[in-house]
Amino acid sequence: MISQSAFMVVALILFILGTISFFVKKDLLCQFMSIEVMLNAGNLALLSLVSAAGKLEAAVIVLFVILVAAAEAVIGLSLILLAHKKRKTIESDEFSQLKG
Amino acid sequence: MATAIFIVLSVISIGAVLGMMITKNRAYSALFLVLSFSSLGGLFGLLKAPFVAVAQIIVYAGAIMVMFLFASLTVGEKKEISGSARRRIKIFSVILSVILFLEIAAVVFRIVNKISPFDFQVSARDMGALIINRYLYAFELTSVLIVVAVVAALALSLEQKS
Repeated sequence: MISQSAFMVVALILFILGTISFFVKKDLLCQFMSIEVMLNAGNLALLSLVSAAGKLEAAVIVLFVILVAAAEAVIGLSLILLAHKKRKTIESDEFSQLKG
Repeated sequence: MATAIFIVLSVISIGAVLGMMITKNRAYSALFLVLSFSSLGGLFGLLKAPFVAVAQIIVYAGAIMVMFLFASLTVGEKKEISGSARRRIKIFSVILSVILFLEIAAVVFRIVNKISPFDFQVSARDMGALIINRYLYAFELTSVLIVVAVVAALALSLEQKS
């Protein structure tokens, strides 16, 4: 039996890698992918922590998080495509002002 | 056996995220992320939550990452920009992330001793009963949220033509 702390450590590493990737990468698409990585690390931490207590709720909450992430991905990607259509770039450094 | 599976899946998952960070090609990043999320689904399975594991693979590795691939192919190749300011930002962000790592690690290592191992199976039937009974309101709200998201995406993409 693997201890829950091992899962927590994996979730921690994934979250930090997502954070570093979010700061280091300079285009919106890769930053969005990093956000998804962080979201998944949170899911893993939640599932490993709450499952240890024998609660079923964690799985349901993780399911809702996955569904909300799907909705978020739809909106985010359409916004990125719209930004690309307007500015011809998705480098986040280029978006220094909101004026279209 | 479970320990070996855990180690292999964790290494694949973390290595794939590292690959996503290192590669310059956006499409390769998306494919690395598919690998990472699939192995993360395996980790969910190890946590005795098979339904969430399958949902993770279908929704994330299947649906969401296909959208990412589509978007990365639509946007096309990026041009390389380099400069000393960018390098400074990179170093600064890595330092910030290391500080964040230390903070979260302090919390994690404080609580890991208190977590007890468990022997517990999350069956799809129990989860369904829980969703239909206690979380019905949240479930319906989620469906409304997804409809709103799809309509918003359509509205955003149709805006140009009017």
